[in-house]
Amino acid sequence: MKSMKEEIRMSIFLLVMTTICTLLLAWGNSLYQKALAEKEKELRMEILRTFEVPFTEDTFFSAFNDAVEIEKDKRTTYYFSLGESKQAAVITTGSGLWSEIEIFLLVDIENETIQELQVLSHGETPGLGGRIEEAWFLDQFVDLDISEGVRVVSERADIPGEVDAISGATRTSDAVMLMLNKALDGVMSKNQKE
Amino acid sequence: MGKIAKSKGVSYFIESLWYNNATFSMVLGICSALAVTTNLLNAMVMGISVTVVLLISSTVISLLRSIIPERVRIITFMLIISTFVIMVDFILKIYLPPVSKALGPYVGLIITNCILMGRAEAFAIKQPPYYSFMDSLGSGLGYTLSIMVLAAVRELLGAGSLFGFQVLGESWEGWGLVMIPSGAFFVLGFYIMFANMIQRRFINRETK
Repeated sequence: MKSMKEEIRMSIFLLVMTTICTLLLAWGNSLYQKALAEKEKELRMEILRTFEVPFTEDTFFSAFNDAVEIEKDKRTTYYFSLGESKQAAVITTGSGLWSEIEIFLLVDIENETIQELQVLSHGETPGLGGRIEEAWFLDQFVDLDISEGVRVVSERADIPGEVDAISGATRTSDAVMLMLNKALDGVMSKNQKE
Repeated sequence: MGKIAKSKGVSYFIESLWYNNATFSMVLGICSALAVTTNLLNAMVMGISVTVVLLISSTVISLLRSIIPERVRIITFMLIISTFVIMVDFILKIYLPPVSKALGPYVGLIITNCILMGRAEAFAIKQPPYYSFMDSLGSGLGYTLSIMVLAAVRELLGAGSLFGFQVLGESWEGWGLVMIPSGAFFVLGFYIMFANMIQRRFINRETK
């Protein structure tokens, strides 16, 4: 009889504990989702600004829907500008040597050039692959001719689309190149479909 | 022990910070100590996360210690610890997304960090909240300082920088060995050796 009581007490205790923990987590998750939505909105505002579309806080949603078309891949989000200047902003992730690398890319589709490249996050070795976030590396991509793809190389051969790799970080450089070319292929093929 | 009479709480704090240091005395939580110490910022955030979760979970477990049925105590620890770890994970994802990405799965793996389970089972389940809090604070800070020392050595030798700021000058090429996982074992081994040498000296002096 006594052990029966014990069992019941134990069950009730676990039930209560689990309920409290679940409620706590549900509350935390709702706050997290809210914060994520807020972040996505900020990102979209930033993209509208780079596409040079005028908007205010109130007209943001309609402005975004009129000016931008979103396409999603498994690891990539494309934002196509529907205005006169044909541009696309791309956020994509790919595997580096150790970690996921997340980059932001702004492409001028008409002139086939990259306008901007940013590394949003990475966990590569500081001082080696980690140098992909440094300005000297990223600035090489500004106004880069991408008609024949991007090549991250250690020795230039005067082919359009070449940039210097990071010495000592071949695998990370290659990973960035792979991600860029995948994203650019995506932009061009999706652009032609329309 | 010392000349100044210490209150019990403070002595628990010192005990778990120094004499029973999680990293170099008990060699607990080594997996994360090896994985997140390639730079100081990551190590600091990881250490603070572990300390915060440890403080909250130990205090909660200590408060509940009289009503936790003995047979299900481990699963209760898991429930409490994982709830707070996931909370910390949310907070990092919102406020420090780059660090959170760099730490990858290791934030979630705090749930299985031996330090948390160890302190819960060895201390918090038997002691009142104030002592548990002090004990956790000591363990957490001990772990944080340990991995920050490891990270400082690895970042300084491997990249010539501290907290991302270049301190060894441009001519420092970076010693790649300490950056790779096997290098982490070397650094950790030397750290445990030196820490134990210093600690032994302390103990000898006090017993004399």
